[in-house]
Amino acid sequence: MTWADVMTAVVEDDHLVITIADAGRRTVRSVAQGLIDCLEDEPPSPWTKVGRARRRAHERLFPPAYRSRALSVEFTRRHDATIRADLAAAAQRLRDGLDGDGPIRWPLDDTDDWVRVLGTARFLYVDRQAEPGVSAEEGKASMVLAFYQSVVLKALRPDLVEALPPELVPLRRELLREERT
Amino acid sequence: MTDWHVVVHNDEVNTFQVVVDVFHRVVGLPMEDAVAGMWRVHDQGSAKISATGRDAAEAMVARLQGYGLDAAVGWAES
Repeated sequence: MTWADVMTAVVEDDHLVITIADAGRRTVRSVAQGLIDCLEDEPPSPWTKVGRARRRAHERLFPPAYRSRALSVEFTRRHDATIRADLAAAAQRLRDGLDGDGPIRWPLDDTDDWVRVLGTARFLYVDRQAEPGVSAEEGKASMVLAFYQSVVLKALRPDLVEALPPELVPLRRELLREERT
Repeated sequence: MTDWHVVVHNDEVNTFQVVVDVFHRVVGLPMEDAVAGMWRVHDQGSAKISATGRDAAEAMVARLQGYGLDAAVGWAES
């Protein structure tokens, strides 16, 4: 089995058609549920292991919006509930859409759910430096989600791949350095 | 007068493609600017990606955090 057998995605008739192995399907469903649980648990309890893990995930997911602590607290008061509710709703749609067997047909207009959930759920497992919180398994979980997200994005935005050919990475860095000097 | 802007910080989690996609589709930058913005974030550690009023900057930061980006509101007195 290759990675391509684990998950594929193509655009067909205004839908993103995703084929994913059963294990992968279970993984994504479980991850979506984990994100929902984390987002709905506000404020997470500092007295339990799960609560502390969710608290850390919150901090990874939603870094301070200002350099000023006071302004960041104000930002959280104004926006946090909306951000969490919106993201939790996306995760619920994703989880529910994974019921059943066979290819998953997702309306193109709603594919942002996949991009957002697979992207944000990585912070359940790793910090912004991609360091796993508890075990190396968490780092692997994050990598698997990154792979799924890349499959989805590649199908939705083939132009992104063309925009960033790997062989141009050193050249682009060089050009940016020249711009700055 | 205060100039408000949205700043995105680099991290080791979000991929190049995701950042470009979000800058292009969500922030509304032209593709070329989205790619250039992504490279500034990657190479310089952070980059201003839009200048706007405070409320709009906060709304954009809230949206970007919903994609997993490390976004913040910045300001400068002019």
